[in-house]
Amino acid sequence: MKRLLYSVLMLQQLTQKILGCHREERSDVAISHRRRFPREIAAPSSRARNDILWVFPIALLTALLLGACETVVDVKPPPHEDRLVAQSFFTPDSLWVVRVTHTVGYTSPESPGFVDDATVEIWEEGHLRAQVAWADSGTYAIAGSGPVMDQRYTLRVSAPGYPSLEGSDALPRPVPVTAFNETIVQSEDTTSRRQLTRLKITLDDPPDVANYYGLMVVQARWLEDRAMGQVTPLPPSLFIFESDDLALGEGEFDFLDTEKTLYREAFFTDGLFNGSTYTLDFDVQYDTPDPNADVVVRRVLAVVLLSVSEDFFRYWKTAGRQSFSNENPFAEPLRVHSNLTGGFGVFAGFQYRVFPLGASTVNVAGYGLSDLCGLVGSTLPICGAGPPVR
Amino acid sequence: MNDAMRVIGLLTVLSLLSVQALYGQDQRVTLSGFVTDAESGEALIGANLYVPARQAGTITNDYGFYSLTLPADSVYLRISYLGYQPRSFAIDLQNDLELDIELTPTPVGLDEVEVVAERDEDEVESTQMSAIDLPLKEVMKLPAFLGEIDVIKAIQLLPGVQSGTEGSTGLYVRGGGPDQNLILLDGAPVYNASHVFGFLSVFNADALQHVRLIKGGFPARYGGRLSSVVDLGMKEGNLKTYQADGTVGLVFSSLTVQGPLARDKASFIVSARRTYIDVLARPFLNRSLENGQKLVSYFYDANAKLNYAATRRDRLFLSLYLGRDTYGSTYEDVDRTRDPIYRQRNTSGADWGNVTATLRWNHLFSNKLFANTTLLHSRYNFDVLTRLQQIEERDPPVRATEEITYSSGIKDLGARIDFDYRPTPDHYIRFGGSLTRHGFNPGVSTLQLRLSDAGGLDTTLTPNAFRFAGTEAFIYAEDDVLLSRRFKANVGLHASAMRVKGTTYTSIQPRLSLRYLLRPRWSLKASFGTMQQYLHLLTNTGINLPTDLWLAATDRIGPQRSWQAALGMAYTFGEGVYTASLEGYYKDMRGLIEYKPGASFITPNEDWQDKVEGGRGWSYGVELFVQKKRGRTTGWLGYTLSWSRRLFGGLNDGEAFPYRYDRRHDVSLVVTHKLNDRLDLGATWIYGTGQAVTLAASRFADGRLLDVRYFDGTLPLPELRLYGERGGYRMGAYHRFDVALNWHFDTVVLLGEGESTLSMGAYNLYSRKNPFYLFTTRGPNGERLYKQASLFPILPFISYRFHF
Repeated sequence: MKRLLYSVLMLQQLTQKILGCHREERSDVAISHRRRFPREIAAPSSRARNDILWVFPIALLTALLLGACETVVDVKPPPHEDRLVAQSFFTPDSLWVVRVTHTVGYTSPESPGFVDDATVEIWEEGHLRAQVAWADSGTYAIAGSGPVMDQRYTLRVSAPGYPSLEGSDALPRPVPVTAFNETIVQSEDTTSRRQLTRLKITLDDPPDVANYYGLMVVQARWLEDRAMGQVTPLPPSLFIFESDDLALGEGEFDFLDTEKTLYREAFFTDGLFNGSTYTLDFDVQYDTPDPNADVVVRRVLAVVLLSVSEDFFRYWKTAGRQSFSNENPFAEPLRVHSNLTGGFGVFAGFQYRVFPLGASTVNVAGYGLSDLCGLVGSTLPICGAGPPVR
Repeated sequence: MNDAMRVIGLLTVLSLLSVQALYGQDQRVTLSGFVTDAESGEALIGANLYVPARQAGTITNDYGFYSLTLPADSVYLRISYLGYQPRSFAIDLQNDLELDIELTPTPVGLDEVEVVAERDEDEVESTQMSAIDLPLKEVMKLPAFLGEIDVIKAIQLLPGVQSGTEGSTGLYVRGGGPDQNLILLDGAPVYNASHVFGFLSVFNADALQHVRLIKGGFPARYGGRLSSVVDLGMKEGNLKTYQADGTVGLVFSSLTVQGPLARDKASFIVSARRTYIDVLARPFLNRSLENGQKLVSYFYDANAKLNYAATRRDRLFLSLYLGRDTYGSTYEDVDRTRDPIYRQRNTSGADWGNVTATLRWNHLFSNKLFANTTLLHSRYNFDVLTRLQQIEERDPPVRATEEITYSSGIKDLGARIDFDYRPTPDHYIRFGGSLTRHGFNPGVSTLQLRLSDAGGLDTTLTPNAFRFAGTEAFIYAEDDVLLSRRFKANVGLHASAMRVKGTTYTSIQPRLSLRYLLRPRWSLKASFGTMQQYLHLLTNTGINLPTDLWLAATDRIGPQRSWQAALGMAYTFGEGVYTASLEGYYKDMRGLIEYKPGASFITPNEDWQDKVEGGRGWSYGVELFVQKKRGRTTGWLGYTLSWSRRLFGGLNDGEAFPYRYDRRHDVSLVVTHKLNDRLDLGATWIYGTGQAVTLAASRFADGRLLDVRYFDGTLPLPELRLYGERGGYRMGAYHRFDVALNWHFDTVVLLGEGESTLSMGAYNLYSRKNPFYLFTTRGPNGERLYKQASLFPILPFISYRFHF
């Protein structure tokens, strides 16, 4: 089925490739995300891809006969004015963390840089709640009382040489989880070290409003050299999960490898289960360490379920889609959502729950789930096991 | 709007009352009949009949029929038609008379300027505005893309019409979308009018008799689309002699055969075209193929028509059209190391196309009342197939087959009846109705699993019941009424309804066109009309792709609606050799749809209604059209100054933005010139303001940093693109000069004597690098650059046409 849809999409995309004979530029973020895909997930069959690509060879030839594609460089770039960009995701009982950067012209040789001389303020109902101090490159943070429910907060950022920006948001409702279930599926192949874990999370979705959710599986990893007796932490990262649950919406577009859709992260609405109790089904697969190997990778996995505001959802979805899409010259480009005026970016609230996967928690002295702070703490102030499940 | 409807309703009633009043006058008799081509017997559409003493006249309808009711008297009647020698008759008209008239084509070598008719029911006289009959004979002489004469591309040369992207057969009329054109082939709608992803249209010029574009001032008999009607009529088939025409081109070769089945009684025409690029390419491709891989790739179309005059009052026409594009591949893997030998056979491919069929019955109820009844079928479908067959070579062989298909399309079954009633020369009344059953298939997938002869599983994978049907109906009435010697009006009402998925939409659409003769060769015209369209085309590509989906209005996504007003002036000069028109128009469109940001393709699990935004659009402009119809040099100059905007709540921050094909200036100059009896030249030059596109103006750092390495410098900060205003950037202007030289010579082959034409020329003669699209890329040092892609440099062509 997915292979078939892939054919249809390939037709659409191939036609556009036929007509557009330039080499597309993938965005940097797309490349870096692809690099971080765990290769435990099966690699695509090159033959299968060729099979699809050969479906329309003469269409290609026809286009070539119809005319050679030529390119001319001399196109004047559209006008550009540097603006501030702020990104801040807030959750109860946490730091206020605001990252401030600025835009650069599309053809500028510069990278979007940090802004270190900004004035960053959090306002609450017309009162200054916090003056957020500079902490690190482009990062402004302040401890103290974090956001609370039923309050609307406003972010104001100004910096010399840029127009000021401002935007508001509030915390969404807490994550309405009623149950979490983890089942390890024993492989029939006793020699295989591949382990499949089926996961279920039950949500009791509030009926009166549209709710937005996010689902991720995160991993902390360590490289253990048994011979040397050394343990080296590896950068924590997201871990691919797979599902055929329609509620999760689109995932990574890889039709060829598995009947289930692969997700690096899933942000979704309650459109399919508004006001009802709904159980999300998804799986993770990974290889357990080889007991005979001298060097093994050990990992701790945890499921993070988020309840996010609409602005959070829209920013995350549109940014994700733009990252993974090539520029199609025949379609309108995708704009990233922003709820800030005067500049760009996002100021949005969220709440979360963390569910460690017990079977994967391998005891390695001195390490544990708290290392996940190093991952998600950088953008989303999520740490450790999070608040307990109610 | 309601006031306008009331006024037009009142005018309609007054018009019909005045018809009744006329019956009380002195004795009147009716002259009626058909006007046909003397050589082929084909009906001549729009031929002028005029009685100078009475200053009364009429024109033939789409089947060549005319009816002229006059006071009993001796009359002098003149009949004229462009490209034919006019004829005159002195008739003592005391009783009703049926007079069929044959006109002879102007002989080659006779300068047509010598045979100009005294008076034409031309652009000046007619109430119809915003309509152009494409001069097919002239189009045949024009330079054609790759030598393939294409009527849709000729329509793109008319003011108010744009092609969209380079080389495309898309039609964007007065700021409307490609789905807003009602393309009728002998009365049947054609839903996807292109081959090869939009580069060539599906209409074979050899099989066409007439092509008419209406872009505003829609008469009440037309409905169902917002922006234009492209009415194509197939030839009826020569009733006198057998005839063969053919073309050998770079892409297609075609053959058309026609002739009488019974002389002057019944005729046929069959026309077919097929590409042979696949045949030419096969030797090159086979070198690079493995494992017995076979490729299939071709496109073709065929037209056929039967014409049977059962009696003088009854005539039947059966028209058929079939066209398809097919692309696919098969290959086989064999594992001979296994026992038994194992084979895996893979097949994948896609094909799409249209089928239309119409059966029409003309019946003369009286010498004033003509009726045409049409039964029609139209189907467009797009299919993708992947099949995996695994074979173990046992005795008997064991076969396991897995076959998955995806199919989308639209199917129409309909009936329509139209009446022409001409009680007096001052009234031309038309009324009728239509009922169409649409079947929509926005994407259905099936899976078949079969194991040898053991039967198998046959499953429709699409989870929702995606196929659905809708019924569309309309009735109309219009009268082309001469209110005074100077003042003429076409008043009409079109009432339509659509029922789909339990929801019914209705619409009353007033239509009004006015003509006021300022001076004998000057007229002032105005028109107003509303339109409603119950179909949507879901597309995100800006180019015509077979994956675009036709869908119906639903309870959530309503129909498209528009109103259009136009004011213009028509002038004929140089003894009728030149005509000129200047028109201004304003069009308002509601209920338009666009994909939401980021949405691009509807998978079977998704509801398309969740993926689209509803909005409105408006366009306005001025069009100048100057045409020279006769003489050694003919052609036209078209100029359009226009604006087209869109407004969608969820797009461009809710601000209005220019439509992608908003084109401020558009010029087309089309010239054919007869050098001598053997040689003629055709040339076109077009110019258009660049397309409105959206470009990334800047970059910024992504805020979704879920990896610590972004902060320790291991990974570069991921970036996102920040786009400027939608459509806020203009690509460079488009202009192109095409030229063709046609050499006509006599040929004698087995079929007998005939005439051949060798055409040579070039598309984009000065090899202008026209912008096709803009894109961003990296330079040699990693710097980002904007680049422009251009598609076609100078493309020479050659084609050979013959006629026996």
